[in-house]
Amino acid sequence: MQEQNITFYDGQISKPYPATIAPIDRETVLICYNQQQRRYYYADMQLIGALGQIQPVIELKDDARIEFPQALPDWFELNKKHVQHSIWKLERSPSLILFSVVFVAAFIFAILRWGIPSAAHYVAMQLPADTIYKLGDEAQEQVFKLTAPSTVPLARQKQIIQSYQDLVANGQPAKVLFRAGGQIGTNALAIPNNTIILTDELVNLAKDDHEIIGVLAHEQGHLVERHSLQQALSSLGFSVLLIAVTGDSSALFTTLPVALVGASYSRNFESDADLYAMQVLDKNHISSLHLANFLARMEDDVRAEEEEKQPQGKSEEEEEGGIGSFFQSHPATQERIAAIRQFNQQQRLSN
Amino acid sequence: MQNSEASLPPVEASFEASWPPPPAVPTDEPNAYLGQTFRFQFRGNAREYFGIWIVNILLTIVTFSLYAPWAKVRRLRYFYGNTVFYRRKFDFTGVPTRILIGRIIALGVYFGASALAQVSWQASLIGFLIIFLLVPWLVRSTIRFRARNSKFGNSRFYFTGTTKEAYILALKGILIYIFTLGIFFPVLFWYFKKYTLDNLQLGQLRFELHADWPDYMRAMYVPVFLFIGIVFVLGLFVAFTLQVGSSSPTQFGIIVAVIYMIAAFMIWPLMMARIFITTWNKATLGRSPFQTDCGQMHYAWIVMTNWILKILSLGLLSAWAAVRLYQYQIVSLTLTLKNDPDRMYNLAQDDPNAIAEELSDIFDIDISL
Repeated sequence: MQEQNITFYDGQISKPYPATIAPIDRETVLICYNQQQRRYYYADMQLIGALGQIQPVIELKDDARIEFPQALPDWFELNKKHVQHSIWKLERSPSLILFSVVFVAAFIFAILRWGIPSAAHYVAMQLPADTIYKLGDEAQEQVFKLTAPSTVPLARQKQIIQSYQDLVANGQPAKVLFRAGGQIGTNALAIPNNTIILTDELVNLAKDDHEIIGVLAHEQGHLVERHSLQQALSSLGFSVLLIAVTGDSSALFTTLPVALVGASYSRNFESDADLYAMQVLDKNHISSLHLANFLARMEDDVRAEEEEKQPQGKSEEEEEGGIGSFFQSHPATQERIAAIRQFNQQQRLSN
Repeated sequence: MQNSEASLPPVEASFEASWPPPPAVPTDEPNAYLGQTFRFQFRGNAREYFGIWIVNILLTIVTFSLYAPWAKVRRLRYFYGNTVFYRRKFDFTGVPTRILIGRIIALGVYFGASALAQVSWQASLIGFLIIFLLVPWLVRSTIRFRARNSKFGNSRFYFTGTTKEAYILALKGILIYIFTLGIFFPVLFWYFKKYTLDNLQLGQLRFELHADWPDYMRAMYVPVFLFIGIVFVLGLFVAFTLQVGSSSPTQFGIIVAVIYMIAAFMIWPLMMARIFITTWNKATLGRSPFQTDCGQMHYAWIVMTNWILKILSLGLLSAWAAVRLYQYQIVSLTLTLKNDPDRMYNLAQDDPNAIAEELSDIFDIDISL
């Protein structure tokens, strides 16, 4: 039995007719409906394959339409039908769906972990150095509002800047500014208009000038590697990816994950900057342990301050790995200190 | 096979006793349906759509995004083709290869504009201005392409809005926005809805939106005022409790941030819900009126929890969330038939190209309102 039942629309009005379809030869089919007959060439057909439970449909040149109640009959000669059928099968087979999930998840993880950072690094280095100077100027203004003029004696400032020029600058000197910390407390900032800001609190906390050199080298690392620009570029890249996958571009939906992933990238930038600092220190024959010592003291300082505020509440330092550490915004200081100590040991072994 | 029949609300007069239906036979008595109300149904389910969605992504990755037009058509078809009214399905008949050509041209324009930006900032400014001036044309062409390739049964949708109208509306919208300092922004929504619906035709039947601009003011300002009220009460509460404890600028900052988050989470979903309800309760097709019985809070809840669950599932629940919202919208709709659905013309028309739709896709102009 080659004849098959179909639903047929004649292309003039919207009424569906029960009809039959049967082959005439290898190029044409015959459709019988409502006591009428029509002959159609395969060449005039546009096949729209099955999709989920929606069965195949054929749109015809004269705007008529054939709806099949089940899969296309075997005798049907349209050559595109196999491709369409295999995609349909792919979408319905559990093992292939599972494979797709795993593949897509791995792909997205790889893009997030390596693709976006290396693309951002490459693009950031290609762009002119002053790309985000304006943004940097604005950020600097903000920082100035939060801080007050420095009380560090000018002579001391000059001395620090001099050793920065001698040991760290390496042909790309940045402007070094001193401010009284105020709300930002013990801190050092690298601002993408080629400026490093040190707070008085930080200068005073250091017990050795080598520690300040370490901090300056760390910030210099941020500037040389253009981390702010990289951060902006990777956020952009990630939001494009997110919209492409989920198809949702509402502001709130994209901002939160972008912020989370951005935090993870900034963690990597911190370790990069640490590495840069250690190399600078090493080149100048200064032990990188100075940086580790300073980080440790800074953390003790912060903890002491916190306990002063709320004596009973212990600060919740999360030191778990895995997903938790991937999304953590501030790099766990302990981890950084350990990394520096390890670097130091390796250096000693190789010497 | 999952059948959504059981969970559907009662239908006034159901033609859906058996599925799949036998090839549709028009009833012997003419006009048996006249004046009767029928409900829209959605036959898709999240599990099935998940397979289509994930395979779409897989093939798009594997083919370096060449598959994207096919993915787009399959996505649209899944939702259209599973939407059923009066035993007839909707369908999307856009041809992927034609969309691909449109997309390649759009990409060319995009890269041209980017290359221009490299030359000088004046050039990029001019490029930006040109794209800005093209927006009304893009929007109009996109609606037209989408309509032309959408079908109910075998009758095509058709969009009659002209480019001139689109530009006049855009200008009026901008002027109103500027001179009322943005306060009358719901009027812009009203203009847009009216332009899209009043110019939309199915066969020879015309859609019409009977809502007036104050309806849209109500739809969009009630959530805002509701929110201001909530913030006021919360503010009083917070101020009181903070007096007892110690308040600091950082704590205050956190509170402001939390309130802002709640605002974004609540106001926008509720606005979306109320716009949907306002539009479909005031729309007609020919002489037949639409009605929706969806609840604004339920709708807003769905939008809100969809966001949260998508984030928590790292995007994996996107397919489920899309089906969930679409199903809720569609199943809430009814149409009281006062025209014969068997006597609609096909209305064959010349085929507008896909370029404009793809341009607006590339430049990310969201016209899905």
